[in-house]
Amino acid sequence: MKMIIGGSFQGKTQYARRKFPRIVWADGRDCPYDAVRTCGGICHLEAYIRRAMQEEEGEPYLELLTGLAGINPGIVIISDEIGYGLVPADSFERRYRETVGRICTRLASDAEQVDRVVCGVGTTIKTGPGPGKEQAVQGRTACGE
Amino acid sequence: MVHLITGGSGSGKSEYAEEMACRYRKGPGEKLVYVATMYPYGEETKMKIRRHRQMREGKGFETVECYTGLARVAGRLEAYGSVTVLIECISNLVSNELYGIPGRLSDNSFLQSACPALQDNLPRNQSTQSTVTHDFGTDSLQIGTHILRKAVSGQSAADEILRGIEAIRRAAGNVVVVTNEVNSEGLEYGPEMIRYKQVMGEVNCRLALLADRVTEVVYGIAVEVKNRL
Repeated sequence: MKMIIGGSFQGKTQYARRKFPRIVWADGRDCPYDAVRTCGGICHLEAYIRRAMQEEEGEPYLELLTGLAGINPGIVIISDEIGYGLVPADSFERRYRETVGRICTRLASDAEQVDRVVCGVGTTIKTGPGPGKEQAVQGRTACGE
Repeated sequence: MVHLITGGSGSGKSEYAEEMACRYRKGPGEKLVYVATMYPYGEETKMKIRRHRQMREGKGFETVECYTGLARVAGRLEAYGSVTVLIECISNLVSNELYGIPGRLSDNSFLQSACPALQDNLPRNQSTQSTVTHDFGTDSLQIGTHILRKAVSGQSAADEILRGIEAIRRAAGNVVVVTNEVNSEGLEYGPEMIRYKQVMGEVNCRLALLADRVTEVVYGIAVEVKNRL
């Protein structure tokens, strides 16, 4: 399992498509919930999580995501990094960003590689199994390379 | 030594900070103190506090609650001799210094209407279930007018926090400070929120300057920002 994270509109999807040209991507904004079990990659995991929190049939998938490394070990996950602002006034929004944070922290812990994309430039912030603490930055790759 | 740890909400920075504090501790003979800054009001905040307490359980932390006037903790620490301190979190301290400790404020409805998103940091009811080990905040803010006066100076809030961290650094061997990255979402905010973000930004910059090590935690992954250890 690999992860690509970063702020919105940072060129994460382009970066991922160049890095993994053969993958067929599911789109978290409208894919069936079950897609995460089998797809090669998923973009907009943050939108998938929001849907799952809002729709009754999505609820069990929040739990499923935390064990995704066992279900679909080859998956590449792209997600917006959220939670870098003030505490939202709306209680659902507070719960949402907390949920995205917890799920992504779990996924990042299980992933063998995590890349963070800023301005289209990816930096590998974790390689190898385990929580990835104390890792030095591995090097940067622009999405065009 | 000061190790500043930043990150977004839900990034796993608390767990990382606890791990680092335990690592800096020189052994079971050294005190390990957790300075909690979140005032327990409302169910959501209390749940958050409970979650953090569970996370810390069994790691040997002694909890000290301090909502404002951080420097007073330093006085207490001097009696301990060798001690490692974990302070969490600067975002609560800034809000407490700026707006006071809710519950002691006679009427904070004006603040809630001015900046609804800050309500999370604005206790509305006096807590009856206090498990305070040492409450350093009791005598700090007693009447509404005092809080209102405090609320006009972001500079003094920032100075107060920096003074506190420096005093604790002098009293303790190792200090781990958790802050929060609140300035990277470009939403429209009212003037009060902008001021809060401004003070947070200033405090974070000044803390990073005095820190020996700065780490950003990204979904549980420690990304080194500065390290002169």
